[in-house]
Amino acid sequence: MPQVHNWQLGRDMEYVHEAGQTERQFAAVFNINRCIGCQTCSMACKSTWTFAPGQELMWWNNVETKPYGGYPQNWDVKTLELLEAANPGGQTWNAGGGDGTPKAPYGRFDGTTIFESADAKRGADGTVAGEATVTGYIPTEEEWKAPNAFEDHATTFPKQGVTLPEHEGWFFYLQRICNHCTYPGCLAACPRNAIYKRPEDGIVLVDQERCRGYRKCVEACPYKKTMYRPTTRTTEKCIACYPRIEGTDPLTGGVPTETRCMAACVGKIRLQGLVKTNEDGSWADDPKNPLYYMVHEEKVALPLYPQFGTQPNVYYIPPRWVPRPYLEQMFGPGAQQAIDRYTKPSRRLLAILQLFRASRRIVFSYDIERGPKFDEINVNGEAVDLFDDTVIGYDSTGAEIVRVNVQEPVSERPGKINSI
Amino acid sequence: MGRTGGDTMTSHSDVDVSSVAGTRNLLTRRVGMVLVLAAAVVAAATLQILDANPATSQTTGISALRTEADLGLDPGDGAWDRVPETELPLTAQQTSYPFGGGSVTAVTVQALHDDESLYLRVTWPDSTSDVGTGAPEAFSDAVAVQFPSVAAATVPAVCMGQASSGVNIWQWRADSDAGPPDTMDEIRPNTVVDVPETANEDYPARVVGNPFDAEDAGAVQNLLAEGFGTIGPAEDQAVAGHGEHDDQGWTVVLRRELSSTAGGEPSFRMGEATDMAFAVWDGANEERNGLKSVSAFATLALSNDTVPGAGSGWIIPLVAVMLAAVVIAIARGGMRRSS
Amino acid sequence: MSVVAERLTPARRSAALTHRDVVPLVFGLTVPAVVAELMILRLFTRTAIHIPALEFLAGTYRVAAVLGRFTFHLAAVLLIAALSVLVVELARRVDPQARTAAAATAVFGVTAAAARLELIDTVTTTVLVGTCVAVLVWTAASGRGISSVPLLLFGAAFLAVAAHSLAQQVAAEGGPTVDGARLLYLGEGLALAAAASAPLIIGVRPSRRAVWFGAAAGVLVAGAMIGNGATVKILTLWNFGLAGYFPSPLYGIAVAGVVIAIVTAYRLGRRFDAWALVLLFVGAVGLHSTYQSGLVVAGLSLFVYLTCTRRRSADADETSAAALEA
Repeated sequence: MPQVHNWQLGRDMEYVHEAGQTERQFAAVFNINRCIGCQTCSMACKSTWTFAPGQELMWWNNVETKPYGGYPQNWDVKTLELLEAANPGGQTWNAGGGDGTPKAPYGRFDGTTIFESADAKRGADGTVAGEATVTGYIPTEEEWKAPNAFEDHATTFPKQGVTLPEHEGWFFYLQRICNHCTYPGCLAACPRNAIYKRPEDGIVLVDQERCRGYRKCVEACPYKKTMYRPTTRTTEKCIACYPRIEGTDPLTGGVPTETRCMAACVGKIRLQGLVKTNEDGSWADDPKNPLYYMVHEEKVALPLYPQFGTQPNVYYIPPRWVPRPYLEQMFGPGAQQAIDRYTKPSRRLLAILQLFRASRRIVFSYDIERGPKFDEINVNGEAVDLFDDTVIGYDSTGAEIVRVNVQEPVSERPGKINSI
Repeated sequence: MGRTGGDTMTSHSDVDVSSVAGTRNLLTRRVGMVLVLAAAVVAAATLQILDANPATSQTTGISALRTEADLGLDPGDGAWDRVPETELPLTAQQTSYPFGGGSVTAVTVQALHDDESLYLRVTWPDSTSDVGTGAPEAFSDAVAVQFPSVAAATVPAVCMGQASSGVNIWQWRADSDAGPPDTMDEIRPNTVVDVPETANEDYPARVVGNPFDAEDAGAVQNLLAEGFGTIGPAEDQAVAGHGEHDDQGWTVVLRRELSSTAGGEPSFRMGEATDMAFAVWDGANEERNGLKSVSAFATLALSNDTVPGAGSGWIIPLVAVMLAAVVIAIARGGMRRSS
Repeated sequence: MSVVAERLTPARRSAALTHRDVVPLVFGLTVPAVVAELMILRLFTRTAIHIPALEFLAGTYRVAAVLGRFTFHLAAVLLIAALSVLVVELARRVDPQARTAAAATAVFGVTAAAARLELIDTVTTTVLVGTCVAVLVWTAASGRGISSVPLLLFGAAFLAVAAHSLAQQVAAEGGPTVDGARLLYLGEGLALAAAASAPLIIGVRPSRRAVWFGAAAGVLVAGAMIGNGATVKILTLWNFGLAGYFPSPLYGIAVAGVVIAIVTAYRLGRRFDAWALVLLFVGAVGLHSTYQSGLVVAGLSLFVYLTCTRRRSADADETSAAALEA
């Protein structure tokens, strides 16, 4: 089997295809700390793409309440269990195994991925032992039926309340779309070559003409983001609103535009873009790209379950209040560092965070104009100066599309107002 | 493993048996070898160009007998009652229970023709009827028959697809046979559908003409393959079929016109035999794609005979047994003369 | 040494090919061609159509398909030559065994030709081929002692599968229907036993290296069957007539047996034994085509030829023969 480099694991791994470079890669950063679980993203997606008969259970974008919620139910725990069964006790990170560079920023994962464990005998989870190239399972209809079960369920409700750094009783919202992985599990599993990754933007699509509804991709995708549609007997999935990404949708005015779920985000938690990649699938050095800066310079945004091995391209700023072992299982060993840097942000990071939802056009690069100190705050007993810097976002052509200040504009209500 | 005594005790290296030769003789043997090889290569090349095969298929022969009956797609049609049955073994299941219950070990095949169309009736045991594929985890029962694209009985040269001549596969699926669901309620009872009336464009697979789309799929898919991953629908979907399930299992009838002008699909002619193989999928076992049971080869030939009365089939084996007796007699005679 | 050379190589005088050279010459070409045909046509091109994710190999596949067909034609032509040579060579002998084998091989040849010309039907072909193989097994096994066990097992397996085939054909012709599944189980079990016991044919304790080779091949096959049962079982069914009824490790043991026997034979310089084994097991028990049955017939006749030749040279000069073997 070919060896490919998975920078999130800090090592090479087995994959069924050779690595292939995409011109750009679809990527996004979701700031979990800011999500209010309003599901506007879910509805924006549903009303655009999955409203027709046969798509009732299909939520290409969903927001689930962790740790109990899951769409489909227990998707992550089940896959983690399958991997654990294939490699008992071996699913560990060597945090010292990396070099901190974009090739191995979080250390080295010493366990087996969904690709590497596929040869081992499967767990007792109803999976058919056979010709699988990827470890996985097919969620039942029942498991897809309650996308928001356990909404707002906390682990406990301590009477004395909760305080940082770790809440005793906790929950958080996890926003999920297709990760448009660099090494997709669905693509690896398809016996029909019906799934492909677009060379121009790395978006992963199911060819609706070739698909024969074998559901090998449903079985293989560890994030369970390929979904079966009984009215066509094919599998459909998130298409990353590609007409918007391309700028071919009439609404975009010909400029690459963020997806529906991103653009609709009320909590301003999402920023999406297209990043440059190297031949080995790692990100090309591009500190002027806000996503690159957050993922590789600050390491404040982390991949979801990197140990699955698909190199997902949606990155999360982990929730500050959640117990670290849980976050480390979900986002890898970089979780504590990410929280530290987010809690006490650098001047540049604070400016870049203002870009979230400042424009619906895709920001390809940014500049920062320095401004005066306007406040001083206390973070965990340390004083932090706040500066009113200005961040400027540019589109694919280098034209300025947005300009935001760190200090929000303040308007004072006039003394006398129209009393309606 | 010790010495075994007898002749083998004294057996010695073949070197002296074949030849113990001087250099001159070695040279001539080499020349002889080159000559034989050259002759064989020329002969083989000739066969290749003429597409002539010196070997004959020996697999189980199935005769498609002529019927006068107005045969439809009803698997229970009385016209099938007297048609000879052939049982083809399938490779054992590859699931975790190789001997477990429910695995399909054989298909029973019958064939008829009415000078217009070929009819195949396939029967196999399956305790569960897996028709609905509404749920993500539900898979359909299915059966397929595979022919070389050009009718021929030339095992092993042609069968199962070569670049020069691929294969034609007719796949019957229980879910396609049942047709598309009339309402979503059939698949997902009590589901609220916000947009019940939708245009075709809301079904991408339908828009791009995916032949497996529930709306368009006939009971039988006519497929072509020519090597790696090339399986795809044939341009004409000229194969019809229908299956029924009872306590015993499935009985499925497949029908296609004898002659075909489409590329990659065999025409069946009187007196010409062609290879075929069957595959069965058990939906309850999550079988689809490569997860299936496959039969040994059989050959199919059209016959001018009509469905026989009981007993007439004894004549041929009787003759064959007599021939065998003659061979043994000759062999024994040879032994006696020489000893 | 020189005595033997003098006795066995009258060719020295004329420097021309003698009938003695013909058998190794033809089989030396036939066996590699048969192996190449098995690898390219029967294994590669038949597996390839089941490997979906390899479209980039389409070009290779096309070349292999043409090459595979050519190796098949070549192997078939050489097999016809090999069978003809054996008939002639065996018929020249005075031993009754050789004469019988010659007769059976000739009858097979006539049967295959008649079947090709569509003079006889499948039932008759099966009966005649089965009879020829039965006679040849009996002939090859007689006087062999314990080394006849694998041959007898193979013959029984072949006849069981042939009987099933015959039962199917009789039923297809409108005769009575027989439940033949047990015959298949029986045939498959006997075939595995024949393969596993193949080293008995050589009758010499296999070298460590031979055992290693055999174990490696066995582990490879058993592993492939466990890992990708569907494809491997299709291949065993379509090429060797084995449906995969039994647990995978047994197939590994069977392959190991055959490989150990062949490697041992080669290392002892007993090419004929090795060739005969290759032909026997590449032909295998499935009644697929007269080509594959021809391989079995050739393998069995070669065993008879070998026994007769050995007996003769042993009678002629036991000391030098023993000396050569050592």
